[in-house]
Order: sequence, then C-alpha cells, then structure tokens
Amino acid sequence: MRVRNRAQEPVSAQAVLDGYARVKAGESDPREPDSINLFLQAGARVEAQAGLAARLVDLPADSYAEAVLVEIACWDPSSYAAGREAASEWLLSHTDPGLTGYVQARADFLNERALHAEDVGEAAGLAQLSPFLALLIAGGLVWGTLRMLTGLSSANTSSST
Amino acid sequence: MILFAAALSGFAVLTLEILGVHWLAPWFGTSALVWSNQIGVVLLAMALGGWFGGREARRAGSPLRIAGAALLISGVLVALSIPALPLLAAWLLPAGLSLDEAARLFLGGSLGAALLLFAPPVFLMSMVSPLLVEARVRQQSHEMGAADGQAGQAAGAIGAAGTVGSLLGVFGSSLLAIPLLGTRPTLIATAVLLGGMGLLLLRGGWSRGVLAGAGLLLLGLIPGLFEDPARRAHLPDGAEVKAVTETSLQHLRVLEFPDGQRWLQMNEGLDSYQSIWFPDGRRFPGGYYDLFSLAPQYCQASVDQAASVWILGLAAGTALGPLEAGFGDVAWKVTGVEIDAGLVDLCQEWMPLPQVWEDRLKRISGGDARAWLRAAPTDLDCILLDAYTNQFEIPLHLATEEFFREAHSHLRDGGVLAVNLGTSEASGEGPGFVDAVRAAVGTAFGDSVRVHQVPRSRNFVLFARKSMALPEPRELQSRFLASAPASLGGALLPGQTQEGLPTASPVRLTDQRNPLALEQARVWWSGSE
Repeated sequence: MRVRNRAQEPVSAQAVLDGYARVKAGESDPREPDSINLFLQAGARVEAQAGLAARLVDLPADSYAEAVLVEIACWDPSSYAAGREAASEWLLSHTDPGLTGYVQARADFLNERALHAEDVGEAAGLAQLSPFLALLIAGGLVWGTLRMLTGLSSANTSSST
Repeated sequence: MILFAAALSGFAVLTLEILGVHWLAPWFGTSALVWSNQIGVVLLAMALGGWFGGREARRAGSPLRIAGAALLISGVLVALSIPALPLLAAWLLPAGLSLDEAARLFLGGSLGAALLLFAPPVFLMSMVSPLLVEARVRQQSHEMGAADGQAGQAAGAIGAAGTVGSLLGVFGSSLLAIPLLGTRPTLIATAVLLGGMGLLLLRGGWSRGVLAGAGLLLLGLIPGLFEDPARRAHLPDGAEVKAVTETSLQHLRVLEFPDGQRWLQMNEGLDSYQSIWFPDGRRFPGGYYDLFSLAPQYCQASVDQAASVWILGLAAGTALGPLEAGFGDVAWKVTGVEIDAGLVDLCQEWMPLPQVWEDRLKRISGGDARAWLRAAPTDLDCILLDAYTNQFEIPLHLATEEFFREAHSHLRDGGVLAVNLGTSEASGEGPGFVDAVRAAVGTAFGDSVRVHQVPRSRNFVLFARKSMALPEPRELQSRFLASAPASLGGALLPGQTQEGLPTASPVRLTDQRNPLALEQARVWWSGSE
C-alpha cells in the first residue's frame, strides 16, 4: 500500500473535484486509499480526515490510516505535538515495512520541530526578560557616563576657580 | 557654534529614532509594536536626558565642555550600536525562526534592543540642549555684562535650532539618507558628526589619550561601511543572497535557492516571501498565488472584450501567472500598484516577468493603493488585494468597510474582489481575523463572499462578487481545472471553503475604528505558542 498516488501521475484540480463528486455520489469509497490519497495530495485536510475517521471505525488501528494522520499533523504547527505522539505510537505498534520509512521521516521532522519549539520557548523567555536586562545595562552605562561628565565638570569648576 | 551643536543634537536624536527602526528591521521587523517601542524609548530617554542636562548645567563649570563630552560619547555609542545589534539579535533570536513563531520574540526583543542601543545615546544628546542654554546665557552675560532676562532668549534660540535640526533629521534620513546612503552608512556618518562636534566643544577639556581613543574607535568603524550584517539576517537554509537594497520604506533582499527559484523578502524575512519567481515563468507558482487564478474564473469575463484587472500590492508581479491561467483565451490587461518604487526596480532586475505578461502590465509605483484605486475605472473585472506591511499586517486603511465599498464601486456587475489573508489563525477557530474581514467585505458585497483556505498553510484567499452570486466550482471551466494543480482543487472542496458571511459577530473594521492591528497581533501571538 502506498500513500502517494499509485501511478505517480500528476493530479489536477479537475481530478480532485471529480474524485470528490464520485465520493459524494457513492461511486467511490471515501475509506479507500485511492480517495484518501487524492485528498491528501490536494491538501484537503477535512475530506481526507473524514475518510480516515470512517476507515478507522471499520479497521481500528489500521497502519495506513494512522500513518496518514501523522502526515496531516505535519501540515500545521498547531498539530505538531499531537502528530509527534501519534508517530511515536505508530512506530511502536506497527511493523508495516512499506510505511515505516514514511512515518519515520515524519517523526524525524516532528522531533526536529519539537526541539526547535523548545529553543523558541527559551528564546521567548529571554526576549521577555531582555527589556529589564537592557534597562539595567543602559542604566549602568548612563550612570558611568554621568560620573565621568560630573568628574569633568568638577575638574572644570576647580580649574576655573 | 552653540546653535550648530543644538541643531546637530536635534538632528541626531530624530535620525536615530527613525534609523533605529530601519536598523532593527532586518532582525525584528518594523511592526507597529516595534515602532511604538522605539518611539517610546526615545521619548523616555529625551525626557530623562533633558532633566539630567538641566541639573548638570546649573553646577557645571564649563557647560559647553560637558555638552561636548556628551556628544562625543553619544557618537561612540551610536557607532557601537552598529556591530552590537547583530550580536544581540543572534543571542535573542534562534536560527530557523518562522514567521508565526516570531511575534512574541520581536516585541520583547525589539524593546530590549532599543533600550540598550538607542536609549543611552539619546539620553546624552538630550542632555546637551539645557547645557547649551546655560553656556549661551553665560556667554551673553560675559559679553554684555547683564545676566537678567537672557535665559528665555537663549532657550528659544537653542530650542529653535534643535527643532530645525530635528526637521532635517526626519526628512533627511527618510527621504535622502536611507535611499541614497543606506542605514548603516548614515548611522556611521551621524556618529562621526556627533564625535566631531563633541571634540570641537571639548577643546582640550579631556586628556588627549581619551580623545585619541574615541577617535580611533570611530575610525575603526570605517570597515563597517563595507560589510552589511543585515544581508544575511534570518537567512533560510540553502538560500543565497543575490541583491539587497534599502528604500525609505523597507529593507529588501532577493534570495536564490538551488532550484533557481527566487524570493523577494522585506525586513525580517524569516521563512516567508513577498514575491516568488521561477526561471521557467510558470503560471502556478504555488501557495496562495495559485488561488488568484480563480478570480478570472469567478468573474466570468467575456471573450468579446479585454478584461481589466487592478492588483493592489504588485511587488514582483507573481500574481500575473495565475491570472494568465485563469483568463485562458480571454484577452486581459492589468494595472499593478506598488507603494515602493525601489522595490519595483529591484524586482525588474532580479525577478523579470515573461515578455507576454510584461506587455499586459502597467505599473504604478510610489503611491498608496487606496489613493490610486480612486483613479481606477469603474468597470474593472477583478481587483486583487495583496498588500502587506511587516510580512503579516494588512495595512489598516485597506481593510475597512469604507475601502471595500470603494473597491466595490470600481467593479462592473459580476466583477470580483480577491484578498490574500495571511494569518496564523486555524480554520474553524471561531470569530477572528478572517471573519472580521469577511464581515467588512460583506457590508459592500452582501453575502456573495467566499473564503478558501490555502492547502497545507494558514493563508486564506477571500473572493467577493459584485451584484451576482459566485459560481460554484462545477461551473468553472474544465480546461482551466485540468491544467490547475491538485492543491487548487483541494482549496475548492467544502472542507476548505467558507461561504457567505460569518454567523458570529466579529469586530467591525471601519476607517474611524479599526482594531485589526490588535486582532492580527493577537492571532499571531497566540499562533506562536
């Protein structure tokens, strides 16, 4: 079973609309990989997820459906955390050789994003703290400069008196 | 000399206020919040500096020398801000930052940078004015032998000179210095001017060693004229910088990737682009641009007459490819409005359009889209709105009920308005940014409004049709659909489409009151967490 279009033919907008019309007319099964793959290639999240949900009702823990759900989670940063969990669970509970590499690649991507999110979280903390640090440093700098200027002023005063 | 020093300090404060934002731009952007931070920091430093300067003037033996020292040190600090900002940005901003992660880092980071780099020199420059007043009063007392009644006159003269300098700073930096010299050379020139004036006023007040050190530091900045650290700020993986330019509006650069595609980026850039270009001149460049091909299909242009399109926010003209695909056999012409004339020049050099598209295009550059739209014909087939400031902010005056009514009045019956809405808001999150714009568009177009989510992204493209219903996807030309990518088909499916007006009442967007900036900031802020 392959997640990408079997024939590897370029899919057009027309093919996507036709595929959707066939599903709506009951001529095509939305749970079948052909339908799901078509929506997947079109980036039609809602339609793909509807087919996957129906498939998982009939075939609980289906390796294909769960692999595709991992893929969809990679489309939106707000679902990265859930996708990472799903990928890790998939790799533990499935051994489908045709899909392991596919899921592993997405798991690697999601792990890399999670590490990056940690970096961003730390940086956000630092950025929020930075005005206070900057105020302290700038204050110190100004204080030192004023001391220097006051010294110059005193020197001038004493030299002028 | 005293009046010239006052004018110079006024000039330098305003120059630093404006150039500061331009210098922050490649790392922190120039959003309204960054501007607010910079203006707030400068005003605070001016107030404190004026107060301390007045206090110091009273007891200074030689206020002129104190002023000279303050100007010299401020010149050194301005000079140091040039290499310091990239280092600070590298410390605060992680590599590979995406646009929707950046908002919460930019707010605090830009405030921290402004406080650290610009508050101390502005504080010192603002000390100068009261010191100069004191010096002038003493000078006049000495010359005329009368002390009474001269403080007001001196303050007026110094204040006037400072204000004239400020005027020169505002207009000179925006209109001349940045476009002709660039931000960094202008900052260096300002530092040198401050240092030079400081040395003149000091006239031996400090030891030669200190003065020589300051002079050497300023000289050491000369290599900074030749190396631009902003060139490589937030550079995406694999990208090569082909061109960089600064206009009075923004910092621009063109990147090239190994597959030949080029991006036009403004200010902080990050992982986003203002325009994309492919060497093969493809009609569907991907992303939200592909959905612009629906505008000619939705307006059902007649083959008997050349269709007329206006693009507000032309940039490199990437939208022309999808329009070409959407019009098919229909003859058409397009007027593209771009506020930044420097951007147009850069794009024509580095992202040239195929000649057939170039022949259709008339460019209008250097003016605001809304103002230019008023000069447009009233029988347009399509208006495409793709205007952005700071990567993700739709200019407020281009997202109000009044503006959408103006756009409506320039379309023929059946004409279509298409709007690119970039947001980190997920579909179905409830009333928010997209719903607010939908509702505002609806005040002019009624419920003939449709929003398609761009597949695998958080961008949306809104379509509204004048006086007629928008055609259903099945009514679109099959020849067009057969040549369009699958993602366009995905965007047309019901799951990615919102029809009509929002059910919940979102915020109203009007010329009088437009909370869109806050709404966009809220969406981006929450989207990054």
